This record gives sequence, C-alpha cells and structure tokens, in this order.
Amino acid sequence: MTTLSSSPNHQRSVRELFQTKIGAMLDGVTEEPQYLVQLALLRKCVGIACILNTLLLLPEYGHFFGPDVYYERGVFAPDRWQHWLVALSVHPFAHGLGYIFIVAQLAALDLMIAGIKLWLTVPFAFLATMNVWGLASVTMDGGNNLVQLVFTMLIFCNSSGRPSTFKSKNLQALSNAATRCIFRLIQLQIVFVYFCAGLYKFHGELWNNGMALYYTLQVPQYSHPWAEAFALSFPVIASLMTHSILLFQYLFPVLVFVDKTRLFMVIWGAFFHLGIMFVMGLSMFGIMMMSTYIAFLSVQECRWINDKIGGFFKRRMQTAQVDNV
Amino acid sequence: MTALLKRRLIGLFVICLSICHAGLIVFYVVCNTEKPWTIYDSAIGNFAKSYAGVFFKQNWHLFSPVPATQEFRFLVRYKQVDEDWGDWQWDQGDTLRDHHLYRVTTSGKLLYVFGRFHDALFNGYKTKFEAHREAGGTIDAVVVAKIGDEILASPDGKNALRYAIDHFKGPRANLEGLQLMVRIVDPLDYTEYESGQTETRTVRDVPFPIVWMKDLASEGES
Repeated sequence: MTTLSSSPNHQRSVRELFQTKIGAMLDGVTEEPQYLVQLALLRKCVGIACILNTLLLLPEYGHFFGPDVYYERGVFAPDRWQHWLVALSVHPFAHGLGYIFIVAQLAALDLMIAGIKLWLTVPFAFLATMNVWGLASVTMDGGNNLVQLVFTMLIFCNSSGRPSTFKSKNLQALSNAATRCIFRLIQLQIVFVYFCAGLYKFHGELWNNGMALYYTLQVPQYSHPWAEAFALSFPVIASLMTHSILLFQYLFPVLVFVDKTRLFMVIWGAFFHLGIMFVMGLSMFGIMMMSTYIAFLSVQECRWINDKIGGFFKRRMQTAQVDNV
Repeated sequence: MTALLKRRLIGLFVICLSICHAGLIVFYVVCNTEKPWTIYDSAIGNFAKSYAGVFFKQNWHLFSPVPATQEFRFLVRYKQVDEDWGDWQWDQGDTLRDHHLYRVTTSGKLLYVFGRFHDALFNGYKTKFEAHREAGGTIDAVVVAKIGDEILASPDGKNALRYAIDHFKGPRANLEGLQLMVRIVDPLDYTEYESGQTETRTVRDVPFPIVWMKDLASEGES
C-alpha cells in the first residue's frame, strides 16, 4: 500500500524542497557579506593591539628584543618550512637584529590599519608580528594567542570594509564566501576560548567552591595590594566574583549570538577584561581580548565607533591645519 | 557548467573547508588536553596536531583548572673573595612595586622573565629530588651538588645563573661564588584566617640552594 510519505510525488517535493533550501543557502554564502564594516574595524583593532604590545615592551628592549635575553627563544629548525616564515627572528643570522623586525612590524601594521594594499600588508604585518613575538616569547599569553589566530584568519578574507572588486564573478563569489565563513570562524574561535576556559574551570576545585579569586589575589604578580586586602576583608564578595567569572564563561558562548543579549554580553566581557587589566595587572591580555570583541558588534555599532574615532582625528587634523594657516 | 552551479560549488567548497578547519581545531585542543580515545595517536589525530600546530596552536587553560595561589621568589646571595656568604637578595621587589603602581607598563612583563627562573629551579627540585627519594636514595651533599649542576645545565638554569652573575654589584674579579634559592610564600588559608588562627603567610625555602663556584682553574687558562 502506498503511504503519503512514500508516494513518488511526496518524495520528489521533499527532494526539491531540500535542493531549493541548500541552493538558497549556497547562493547566500556567495553574496556580498554584511560584515565588511566589522571586519575592517577588527583589522584596525588587531593592528592597534599589536602596536601597543610592541611599544609596551620597547622601554626594556634589552630584556625582550636584544641578543642576550635571560630566556630561551627556541631554536630555528631549517627543515621546518613554517620557521622560514614566523621564526626568522631566532635564526642565528638574525642575532642582534631584533630592531629590524620591530621597525618592519610597526611600519606594516600602520599601513594595515590605514587600509593600504591589504592583500600585501595584512600577511606581511602578520609575519612581522609573529617574528617580533618570537623574540619576546616569554611575554606571550592567551591574548597574544587569540590575536594571532584572528590575525591569521584576517589574511584570507576581505577586511577592506568595501565590497571586493574582482572582475571575475567566480573570484568574487570565492571572496564573498571566504569572508562570510571566516567571519563566523573568528566568532566561533573567540567563543571557543571561553568555552574551553569554562570547561577547564569546571574541573577546578577552587573555581567550583568559589575560592579561586580569594587565593589568586594573594599572589602579588597577579594582584594589587588593595585587591588582596579587599579579598581578605570581603571573602563573600570575592567568592561571588569567582562564580560570576564562571557564569560569564558558560553564558558567553551562547548568549553572544542572541540579539537581545549580545550587547549585554559584550559589555560584561569588557568589564571582565578591564578588571583583569587593572586588578590582576594583565594589561595586554585584556586589551587583546577586548580588541576581538569587534566581531560581535553590529554594523551600526561599528559605524558609530568609526565615526567617533575617525571624526576625532579629522577634527584634530582640521585644527592643526587652521593653526598652521 | 552554468554560472549558478559554479557559484554554488564555490560556496560548498568554502563551507566544507570551514567545517574541516573548525573540526580540526576542536580535535587538536581535545587531543592536547587529554587522551580520551585511542584516535589521539591515530592518523587523524596526528594530522590535527600538525595542522593546528603551525599557525593555530592554542591552549585555553587561562588560570584553570588550578589557578595560581603561591608566590615564588628568586633569591641570590654572593660570596666574594675572602668574605663569608652575603645576605639573600630579592631583586624583583622593585619591579613588583612598579607593576603595582603603573598597571600598563613593562614591569608586569619583566616579572614573566623572573618567573622562568623560579620555575626552572622549583620544578627542577620537585622532579629531581623527589625522583631520587622515590628511588630510595638518600639526600647528601654529593647528591645535592649533582642535582644542582643538572639544574644549572638546563636552559632556564643557565639563564638564571647568567642573570645572577650579571647583576652582581661588585667587581667581577671579586666574585667567588653564588647561591640560587626559591622562596615560596603560601597564601593565607581562608578557614585559618577567618578564625583568627593566623594572620601571616607561611614562608618556606626549598630545602637546598643551588651553589655555583667560579672555576678558577679554567679562568686562569683562558
């Protein structure tokens, strides 16, 4: 007996519906993406974070970039192809030439932030940054790691802020599809960080019983005297803050993708990282992590930031021109 | 092949690549954490490690599962010619004070450098002394000297020694030897502190300092 689900007409309509849905999705992937403004601002923020990281270390050039540092930088392995790209700074030939990589990095990052010849400056800035970070490898933390991953992915997408200008329709489709998919991969990479950190904390006794901050804020390297005194005087508040960190890391991977809670999670995250910057003293970690939050802002929010910052610099330049006249 | 079909194939290709990338990253992080399955050492596990290890290396422990709770201090004391051993010196105090005063400066990053010294010494103590004890050996002056030499021969041990020699404040010719030590400051235990049993942190040193004496014979030859 032929049932409704097994009738040829029903099977054909299901197949056609499936093909239509899949087709529509594939057509959508190759259309011009809406996140061009976010990607452009993300490129600038990543560039600024990398410049700040280098400038922060420059006053102690000898301790981080000089030839006689007090830590191991790793050995250059000529048989590993990636070392010829990202570990040239530790090649014996480059001993004592750290300043060359720093100058190249700062110049490339400036051009990248300015949006000049991005097909060249983004990969070059990435490679220069990897080499500079290879020199100061002892200072690397999770923020550097995440920025490195986002930077790698920015190489393969259109971060100019404008639609791609390929004459070939196929190349345009490839560029649009790559930009769309990489933008989502960047978002997934960022939430993956919080997901993993939350998962590891789930297995930590001090995190689960709410005492992690109480003890960590007693380590001077990751604290401040007033923060330590606060934790000792108000252990209940320290415990609540510990639990709020866990809550943030469990909720962020989900709620940041919900329209109504997205901005709230981004603001919560910003305060979380500002706390890490000024209470724990991990300043560059906070700056690096917050720079990647651009991936979760809307087009309007990114345009607002662009207008405010761009407008500020335009007004300064106009004032300077008027003064000169 | 129509233009529409070409575009759809391009979209499908990029989506598949993205899914593969995301899957390899998740696989790599899981494999690097623990070995839940035998596929950790399989072909796909090794491929995930080699793929991610180039530009997508990542480890998201971030103070977990065990956050930092102890303070480690790297101490040095010197012996000058015709003098006794000097007092223990802790050079990072000024750096730490600057780090507390100015949050966005290099001082915090400098502390990472010193962190490598006490990591090398402390971890060296833990692994080598404990392994020796577990093997049923007794700790005597010969064993202490031998383990100390092994720690100083490690890359971070060499750097710690070089730092200590470079920061000797007297004439280099007067330096006869130095000792390196790790001092551990434990946190105030919540129960003991709240009940008033203690108000000061426990400070302890690792059992044996590492001793380095200048090799006068080889210096004479050079």
